[in-house]
Amino acid sequence: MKLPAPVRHGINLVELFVHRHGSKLGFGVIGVLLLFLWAPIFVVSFMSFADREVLNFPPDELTIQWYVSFLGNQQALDALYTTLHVAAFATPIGIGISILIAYAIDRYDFPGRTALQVLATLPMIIPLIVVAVAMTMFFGQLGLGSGFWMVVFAHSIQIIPFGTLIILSTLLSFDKTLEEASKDLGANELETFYQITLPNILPSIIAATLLGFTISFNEFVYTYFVKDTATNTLPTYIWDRLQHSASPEVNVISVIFLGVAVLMVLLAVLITNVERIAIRD
Amino acid sequence: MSIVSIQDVRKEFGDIVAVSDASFDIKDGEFVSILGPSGSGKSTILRMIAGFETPTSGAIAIDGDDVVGVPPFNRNVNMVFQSLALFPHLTVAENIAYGLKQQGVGKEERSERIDEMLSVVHLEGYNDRMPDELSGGEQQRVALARAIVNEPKIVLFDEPLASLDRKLRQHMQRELQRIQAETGITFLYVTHDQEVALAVSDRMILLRDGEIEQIGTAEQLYDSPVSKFVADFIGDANDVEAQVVDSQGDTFTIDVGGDHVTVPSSVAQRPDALSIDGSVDVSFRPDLLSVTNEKPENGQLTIGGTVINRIYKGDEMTFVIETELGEITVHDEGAFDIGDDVAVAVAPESVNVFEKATPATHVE
Amino acid sequence: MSNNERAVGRVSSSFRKASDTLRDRPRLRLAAIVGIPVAFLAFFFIGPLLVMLWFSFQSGMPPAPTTLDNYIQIISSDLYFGIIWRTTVITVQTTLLATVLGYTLAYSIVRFSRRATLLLVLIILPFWTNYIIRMYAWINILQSGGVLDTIMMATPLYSEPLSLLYSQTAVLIGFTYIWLPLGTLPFYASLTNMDTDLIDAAKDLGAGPLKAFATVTLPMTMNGIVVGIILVAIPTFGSFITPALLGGTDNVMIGMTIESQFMEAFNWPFGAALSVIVSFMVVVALLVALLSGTDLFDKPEESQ
Repeated sequence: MKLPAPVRHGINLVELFVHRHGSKLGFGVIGVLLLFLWAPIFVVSFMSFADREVLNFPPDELTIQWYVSFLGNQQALDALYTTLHVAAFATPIGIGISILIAYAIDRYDFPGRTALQVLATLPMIIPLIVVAVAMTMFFGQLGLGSGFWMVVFAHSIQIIPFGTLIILSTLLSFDKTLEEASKDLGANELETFYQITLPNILPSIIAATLLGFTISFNEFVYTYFVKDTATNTLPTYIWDRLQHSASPEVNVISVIFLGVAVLMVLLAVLITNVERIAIRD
Repeated sequence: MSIVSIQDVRKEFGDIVAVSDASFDIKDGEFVSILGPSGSGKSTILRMIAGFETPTSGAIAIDGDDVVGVPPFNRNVNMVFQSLALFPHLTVAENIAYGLKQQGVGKEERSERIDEMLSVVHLEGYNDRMPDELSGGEQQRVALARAIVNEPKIVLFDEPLASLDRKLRQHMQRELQRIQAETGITFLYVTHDQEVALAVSDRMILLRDGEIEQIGTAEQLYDSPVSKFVADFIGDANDVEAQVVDSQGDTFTIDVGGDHVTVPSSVAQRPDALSIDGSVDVSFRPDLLSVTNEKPENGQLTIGGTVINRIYKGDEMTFVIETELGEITVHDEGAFDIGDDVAVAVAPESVNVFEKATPATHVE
Repeated sequence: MSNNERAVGRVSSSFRKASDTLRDRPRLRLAAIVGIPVAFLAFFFIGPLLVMLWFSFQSGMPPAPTTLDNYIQIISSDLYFGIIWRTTVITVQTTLLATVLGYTLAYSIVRFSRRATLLLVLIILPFWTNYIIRMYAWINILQSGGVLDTIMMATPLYSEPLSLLYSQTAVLIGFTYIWLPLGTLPFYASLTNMDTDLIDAAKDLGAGPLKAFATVTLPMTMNGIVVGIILVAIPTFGSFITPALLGGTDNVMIGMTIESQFMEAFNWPFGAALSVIVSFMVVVALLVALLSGTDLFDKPEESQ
């Protein structure tokens, strides 16, 4: 057997190149893809200050006239109000049901436990349009009609899989010996829940609520099929506008959606930070 | 001829100096340990030899070839990781074959060498097992086989035995020695556990805060530590403070808690550095002391105190004695009880005297 | 005691009685906890799906005779078969693009970046922005004389506008844009879960970075890959917004066809049959993915 040399040569040059320049390639990928993700958002934000009705890039002059006209547009404001109104009901209903499902799966062993988990995940798996048309037929057939409350329940259905996923993962990773320790130290079941369990899972419930709100605020497909003509949310309102001709007002609404997303993510980051501080103390 | 040669190697991570000006050589076929507390830079040295870190300055040569800048996959050294890093999706045989495949060794030779290796590590017939079906000790053997099958110039160990229980660890230590003797491959073993290092290695490199404190055999480090740090780290030691009161050339006199004792100057690593009236650290090994309630022999240092604890150790007892100079631990025979007033007798030639240690600044 | 207080007392005592009853009977408590969500999902989710299935066998708006005609019409028609085929092709292309780019992005963040949290926020933020708005942004960019054409024609490379809007390329760009965050996150999760010692071990044993990736990282993150593919492929297959806004009339996907059955043609039974076929294909694809060895409901395995 021939003795190997202390240094092996002749290794693939591509491998050496990747070894030497791997981090540069990595940063290049991150840069290009972040540009890809953010460029469209910058474009619409920028265009909301464009001066002309017809979309053209770059705009000749910058103006805030479209923000002013949005504030004077009763239809758009009504749509914004409806969106918030729906989210205000759909989020607590969806998250409340998510908590019940997560709690049942985490704490109880019962026949159909896996089935419940699959059922709670299913709305995420079946394509939105399929569920949307199914709801249209169902509500129509039962004579429930369409409109505000049907939109609320439809949104709740869409929130459930995400809410359950977030809350369940926290419950599963929550150290149950903490509860035992609390009871060992003399706290009863209720005190244990309020003082130990709740503070530990609360951040994930808040995070799920933020996500639920965002889902409802942005929801289009279910709403589009389930709503009646009188009910318009902001997404269905823009859809209508885009069917005719896009005005820079749609850009203004885009900025509103972006603002809501930033706000929600900031809140979520803030809460996870609060959680970290709480753990450190 | 040295198989690994480290010259003035320094490694900085930002502002933190992990290794500063380390130099040492490892001879072909040696079993060397790098020993030091956590954060002393021992793993960094290992990772620089393996090629995962590049030294900030200095030279590393493997078998005479400068390897600084050579990526790990082009170096003929292999590592046994602390986590073992067995590929969980590959069988035992596939794990061992991994390095051979990269070298382009043919299928038949691969399977021959795998079987050969499995018999070296006493795991015959384990070819098709998955890593998670193995016990901790078996996983250690596979990780070792995966490294040595490539016939590297040196095998690097990053504390792989740390997770094993004491019995198994001691067994694996003997296995490492056996396998090293059988294969003749140079082993470099990093650990914070002096027991492991004392048990397995021909030589030890003791690190402190990124600097090499002492290099030597177990006997050298135990009997002639260069500093209080070494004395404390290798084996057990009692430390007391003393003053140098007089020097007579080949002996000098120190004041230990009011008693004067004359010791040979060979007990100090650097007798010239000791100044009269200067403070020194004196350390003595528990097993070189004796407990007595009789009048001490002439010239012996005695320190009076009270027995505060006794621990049965089979053929011997460990006494903890509270003295004016602090607690002193003694391994000795005798029928003393807790509360007895006794004296600790120290033979002058068994002490170690160090110039006052500068307080260690820890790099984590 | 006023009437009001008495009423409150009565309510709270009956509430306490109810909660005591629940505490003493764990089965009843379980039934209450499980019953509410099951009833809600059964009524507002399973009910509609069953009604849809029933509708798909109707020959007209009910009451009407039961028939298989809707399915026969779909399977035998070149038009609908063509649409389903195109939808499948676009879905496969989108999934490939989004997962490859997503994996590369996740890998780059995990291996090379120290600001992972910030980068993840920057990736998730666009995803939390409205879907239609994001597609509308691409209309601005891709349309003839839009942002892309303006920039491209400012370079010496192009003198003619590309006019990418209303093409299959536009649809692919739109889908990739929408799903890139979803294609990144599962890979990020499985890559951060992986013990980096394994990569070091591969390199130590002589594998270069690409070889180490192919033989260790890739097989070990297979779970994340399957999840990523599922997350991207399913919503793409059923989508109608992106092809409607970016694809124009030449790039009709099955979702658009379903939409028009309800919004224009008002042929509910036929739309229901199309929906059943879409659901069937999605469920089959999901089962194939699950049989490939991934358990969606498993927590990610801790690497040793």
